[in-house]
Formats: sequence, C-alpha cells, structure tokens
Amino acid sequence: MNWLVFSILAYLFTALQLGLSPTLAIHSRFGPITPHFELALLVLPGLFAPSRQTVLSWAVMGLILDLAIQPYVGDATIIGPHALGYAAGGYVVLQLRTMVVRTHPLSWCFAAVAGGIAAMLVVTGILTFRGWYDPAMHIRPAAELAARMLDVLYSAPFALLFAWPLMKLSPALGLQLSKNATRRGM
Amino acid sequence: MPLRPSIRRFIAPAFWFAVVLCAFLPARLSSFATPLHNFVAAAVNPPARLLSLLGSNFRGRNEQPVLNRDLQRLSGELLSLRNLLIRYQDENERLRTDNAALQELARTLGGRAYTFRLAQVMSRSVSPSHRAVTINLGSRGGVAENLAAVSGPNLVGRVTVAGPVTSDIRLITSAGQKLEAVLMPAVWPNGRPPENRRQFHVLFEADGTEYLTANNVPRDIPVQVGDIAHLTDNTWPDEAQGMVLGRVTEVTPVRDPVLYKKIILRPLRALSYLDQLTVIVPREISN
Repeated sequence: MNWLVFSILAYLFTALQLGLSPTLAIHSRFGPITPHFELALLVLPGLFAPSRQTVLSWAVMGLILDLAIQPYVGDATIIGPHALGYAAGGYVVLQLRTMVVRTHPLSWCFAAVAGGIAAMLVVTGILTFRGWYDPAMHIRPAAELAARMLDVLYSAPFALLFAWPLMKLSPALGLQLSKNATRRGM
Repeated sequence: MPLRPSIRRFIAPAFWFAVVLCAFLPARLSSFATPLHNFVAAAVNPPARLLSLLGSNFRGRNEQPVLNRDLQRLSGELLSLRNLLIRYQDENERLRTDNAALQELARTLGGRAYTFRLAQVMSRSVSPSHRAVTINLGSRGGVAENLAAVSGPNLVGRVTVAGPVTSDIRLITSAGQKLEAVLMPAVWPNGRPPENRRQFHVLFEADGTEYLTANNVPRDIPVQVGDIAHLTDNTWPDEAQGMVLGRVTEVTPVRDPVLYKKIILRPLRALSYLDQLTVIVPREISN
C-alpha cells in the first residue's frame, strides 16, 4: 500500500470530519449524531489491503483522530482510545471481508458499519475504564455508546457515497481490485 | 539508511505498546500529547475551517425559513412591546401631570392654614329643589361665602350667604348643582391602586332629590356600583378638592344616545338631616 497517498487521503478525510461533520449533525437525546467520514476511507484498505497494513492503517487513522479531535479531559489529549479502537475495527473488517463481494458498494456500507461498531465499542470501553481511575474523566457509558453507535449508522450512507471515487483511487493506493482478490481475500 | 532487520522487528510491538500505554495513562501524565495535538490541529484546521464555512452557509440557507419565522414572531413581540411602551409613556405623562397638580395643590394647601369651624344646623330648607341648611355661624365666626362645608370626609355644600351670625349652605344635592368628580373603587384590590388605573372625570348634576346623576357617560369608562366619587371641580375651593361626594348606587345603559350610560350617585350621609357640620375656613379669612 502506498502510505503517502493514504496519508494525503487521511489528512483530507480528517479535515472533512472536523469541518463538515458538525454541519451534518443531527441532534438526539444522546447528543449530536455526526457521521464519521474516515470510516468510508478505511473501508478501502480494510477490504483490499494486506492484513497487517489493514490493521495498521486503521490504527494510524485512529491515532490521527486522537490527536486531531478535541481533548477528552480538560486540556489533556489522550492518545490511544481511537487508535486501539480503530485497530480492533480493522481487525473485524479483516475477518469479515471474505464473506462479502468487496467491489459491491453495499459491502462498503457493511464493512464501515461492522468496523465502526467494533471500533466504537473499544473506544467507549477504554474511556469507561479510564473513568474508574481518572477523576478528570466524566462520561456516561450508555449514552456515549448509544451516540457512537448512531454515529456509525449515520456514517453508512457516506461510505456508500465515497465507495465509487475511492475505488477509482485504489490504484493510486497500490491496491488491486482484481477478481482473485475478491474471491480469496488477503 | 534501511534499519536492520533485528531492529525492525521491534517497531510494531513498540508502537502497540506505546499506544496501549498512552491509552490508559492518567490525564495528568499525558501532557506530552498536547503539543502533538496542537500540531495536528494546526495542520488540519485550514481545510477543516474552509469546509466548516461551506457547511455553515449551506445550513444557514436551510435554516433561513425558521429564522424568518422567528424574526416575524420577534417583530410582533416588538410591536406589542412598542405599543405597551407608548401606553406606559402616556400613563407616565398623565401621572406626571397629576403629580404636578398635586404638588401645586400641596403647595397651595401647605401655604395655607385652615381652621375648622364646627357649626350646628339651625334650620333646613323646605323647598324640594333648593336643598340648603342654615348654620349658627356667620361672618363674625369667620365664615365667608363660597367656603366649603363638610361632614367628616363628605362634602356637604358651599356657603352661599354669610350673615353676621348665621350662614346659608347650599347642599350639593340642591337642584342645578354641577360637580365634576372622579370615580374610584371604595377598596382597591390587594390594598393598593393598580398600576394601570385611570381617572375618569364625570360631571354630576343634582336634580333636587337625594341623588346626583351623570347622564351620557361613555360606556367604556369602568364604573361599578359601590365606587366612590371624589370632587375635582375647579369652581370649588381648594380645600374641598378630593372630598367625597357619594357612592355609586346605579349604573344603567342609555338607549338614546347609544354607547352611553347613566350613573346615579348618593351621598354617604343624608345631607338634609345633618345636625352639625364643619366649615373649612382659610386662616387669612378667619384672621
């Protein structure tokens, strides 16, 4: 996989996430529900990259989000929850990708939702665990989890939206959308 | 320079170890991440800001109808408040005028001193229309013409003829008497006048009976049976202003002309049967 192109795309999708996501927010009883554009990008390595690169790309994207989003606790930035969560999401997508027709746009939705749910479960779990010993951390686990799950569901249409252009970009990323790859997985 | 394979083997485990360690590190020990956060935020912010502006414009167009509705509602409220303000300004102006009049009255009354001459009623007029009484005080007792005679807070009449030792007092119920008054409730709700109270001046006329009548009073003037009338007639002496004329006993609509009503007022005391009353004499007259 071409990490330079992936870095550029990660940068653009992080900008999308920070800039456009609040505009598309839907207000709910759990807080604003926002789409995660980065899931749409991560589906591409999730479905077509080699296994190690898949998990690593998801983890790197999570690390970027950890550093880019607003600090969780006061002015302290916590590195890790998203990185670990997205790594778990990447691993789940890796396990599921053999069951789907990867070039089908709906598979992108499915992969985004499955990976996103796994990622958000881990992120919420880590934050909840931190809340037990870190007095500065105040979260309501159930509401946090519900909001993150809704975020993931809200992201599915955007994964569908980005499926076609990202498929066209896959050669630049060094990913092969061949029939062999779709059949046997990687 | 490519890393040696023995070192490259440790990169991935070190990365994951660092990430796990940082994920569970207490916030007070995570200060090292703040510069990294600032760097990434500074790098991502320019395109994010641009997208945010674009999104805000899009959202602003969508929310425009809602804003228009809010604007219309607020405009209505503003208009209502403006009308209320005008009403309050009018009320304030009226109160200022009243205050000036009261201060003038207070100045006039304050500059004057009065003596109160208690007089006995010697005789009563037998004429049904010309209701008058004669008292046992005259000019020698300090009584002069046009002075007011009262009984407690009630206005009784005015001295018409001041003889040396007796005086005639024409009662307010004497036929042809015209008196201007304001009507107020006998008891204010909550023990004090409401802030939006208005004073309506009504001209009462006596017809020789025990009653005073006001015909052709506009129907929108709020009057109720039981209201008290206070004198506000400039043709009467200052000391008589505000004295009680009587209580409203009847309010009836007038058929012709329409939109008017008739108010009947009865003095609180039967004036023709008073045995004694008080004449208010300014000090300069009594001296």
